[in-house]
Amino acid sequence: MTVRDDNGISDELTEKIFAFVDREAGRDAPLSPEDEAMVEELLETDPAAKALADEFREVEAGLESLFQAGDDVPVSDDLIALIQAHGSGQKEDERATDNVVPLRRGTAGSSRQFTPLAAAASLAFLIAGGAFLYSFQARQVLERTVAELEQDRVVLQDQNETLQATNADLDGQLATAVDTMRDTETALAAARSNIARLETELSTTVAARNETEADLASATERLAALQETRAELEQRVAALETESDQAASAADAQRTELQGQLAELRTELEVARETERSAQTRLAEATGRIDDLESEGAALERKVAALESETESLSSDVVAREQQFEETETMLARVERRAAELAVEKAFLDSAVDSRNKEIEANRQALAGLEQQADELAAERQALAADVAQGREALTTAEAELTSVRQQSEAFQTGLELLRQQTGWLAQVAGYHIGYAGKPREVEVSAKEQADSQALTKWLSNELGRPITIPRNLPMKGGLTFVGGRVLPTLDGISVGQIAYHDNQDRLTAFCLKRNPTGQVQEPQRRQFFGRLQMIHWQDEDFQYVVVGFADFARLEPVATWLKDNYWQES
Amino acid sequence: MTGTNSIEDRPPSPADQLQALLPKLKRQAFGLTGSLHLAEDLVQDTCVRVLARLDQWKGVGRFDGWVATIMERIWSNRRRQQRQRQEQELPDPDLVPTPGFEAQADARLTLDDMRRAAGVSDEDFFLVTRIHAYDYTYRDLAEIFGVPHGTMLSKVSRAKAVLRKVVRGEALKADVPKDDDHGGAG
Repeated sequence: MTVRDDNGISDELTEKIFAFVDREAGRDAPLSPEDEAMVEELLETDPAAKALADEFREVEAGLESLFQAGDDVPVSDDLIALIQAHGSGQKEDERATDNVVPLRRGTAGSSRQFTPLAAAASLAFLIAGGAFLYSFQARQVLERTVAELEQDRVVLQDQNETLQATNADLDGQLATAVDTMRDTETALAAARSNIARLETELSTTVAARNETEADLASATERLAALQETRAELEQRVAALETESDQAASAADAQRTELQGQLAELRTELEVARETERSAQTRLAEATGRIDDLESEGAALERKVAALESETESLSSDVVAREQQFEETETMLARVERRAAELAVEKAFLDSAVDSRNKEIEANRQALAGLEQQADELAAERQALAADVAQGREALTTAEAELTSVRQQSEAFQTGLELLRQQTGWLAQVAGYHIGYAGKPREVEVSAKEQADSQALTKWLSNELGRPITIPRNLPMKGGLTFVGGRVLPTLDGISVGQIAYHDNQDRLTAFCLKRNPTGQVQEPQRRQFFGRLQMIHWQDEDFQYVVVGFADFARLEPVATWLKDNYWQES
Repeated sequence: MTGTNSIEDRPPSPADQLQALLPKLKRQAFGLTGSLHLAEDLVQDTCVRVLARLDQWKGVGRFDGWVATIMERIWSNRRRQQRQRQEQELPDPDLVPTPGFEAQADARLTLDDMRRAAGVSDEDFFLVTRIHAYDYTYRDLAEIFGVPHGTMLSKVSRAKAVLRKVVRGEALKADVPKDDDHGGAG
């Protein structure tokens, strides 16, 4: 998408000019009033903008005429009939007979005038065969559609009939309902007249009731008067009854007095009879007393006999008690004999106790001897324990030493393994370094033979594929003396250039470099040990470097740093 | 128009609407095919398919939009089949585009050919067709395609700016895109 049009008009402005032209054509292209005014002014002043607008107008006119040419596209009457068959309810009945698939009007029949643009239609001849195929397929589709529509029509007719039957049924129900309503209204009117009549009757009945109540009141008054009369009569009757009662009670008193006299006479007779009866009773009592005294004498005689037999049994008991006393005395004598035997036994036991005490004393003395022996043994054991502790301490010290030796050995092996794994070439350099260390003057190209070092640098440069220089004046305390250089072969086949120096103690110190096969950069310098051998190495994209020597790390480190920062700058 | 609205106060049936749409369908078909006969075919096929699918019309949205979409799909499918046939045969020498509307008519170059040569996508071509054949407004189109009013103007303006260059006889693409269903000038 270009920012500027070929007219020098931006896309944004082009769009606004297009919108302006489009609004001229009566469309709703969005354009603010300010933009519209701006474009209008621009079209008057800027020829390029006006030319662009004219071109858009031309496109509009061209497109309009092109699409207008579509008005000449023929449409067959059959197609219109088909559409109408779908659209109008009136046509439904005809659809079954009107089942004609519209075929396109013959192309020869088209008598319309073609616009020049429409002349493009001649291209269509090229694929007229294809068009026929389409119309044939369309006919098949239509035939299926019409058949489906016919089915739909039958179903709809059925539904229509059902609905009409339902409608008639509902009409009948409605008429019945209207009749019922009329009957109900008549009944309602009759009920209303009944209510009026009943109300009249009710008022009449109420008047009659009032009259009856008045009659009832007068009857009640008369009843009260009659009741008073009856009360007076009852009082008179009561007075008469009282008089008759008094007469009766006087007669009763006379009779009672006579009856009392009769009763006294009867009582005297009764007393006489009672006296006779008590005399007879006392006679019977005296007779019973005589009988009692006789039976008492018999009982006393029996008691005397019982006491005599009791006395006999007591005397036999005394005999038995005397026998018991004799047995007890015999037993006492036996007990005394037994006591004498026991005294003898006790004397024997006392002597046995004495001899046992003597034995105990002897045992105590023996025990004291044994305790003395135990003390001696304990002292001996303490001495032995001290010896054992000393031995253990020695053993621990020996084990600790062994462990530290093992750890050193493991650390050394680990370091060696690390060296081999991570920096295989460093291990080889270290190997060479140790190998050459004892022969300080044997180098491939001696510095003395090639005083200007030209031959050496040329040789190293060829081997390493980059101009190599000999760094001089390296910053080691005590100074480094350049002694020569060599190329070391390595296992991965990449040559290592070694530039050799001696420090002030004639110890071999070297700067080695080789092509970096992986291109991995190792910016910070790393330190490796190989026994006393110190190695400081790093790598950039092109080379791997190492400074190696037997000097202290502190002396070696400035050399490595200086080389890392300055080696290639110097060359 | 005959036989429309036989029952009073009832909205026109879809088929009646379809009949009323015929002039617009003709313009759309001619705009797409550039040929009276191919356009006649396309109108016929579109009407048959619309009538067969009237039960699918739910009355939601614009009926003319639904019909226009059906015609666009038929045309797209047909042109794809045509292109597949052409690819199996020799390339058509007539497809070499020539600038200008008159020249287009003489050389039987259709609007479709021109816009394909200029790299206007099917989608943008359909937008232009709907504007000119159906009198769609930008606001209608923006609502249908769910984009802002101004964005729709930009799409149409870019398509027409490309057509403008074709009219001027410049900026034709070197080769006609093989399949521009998803391509475009944007």
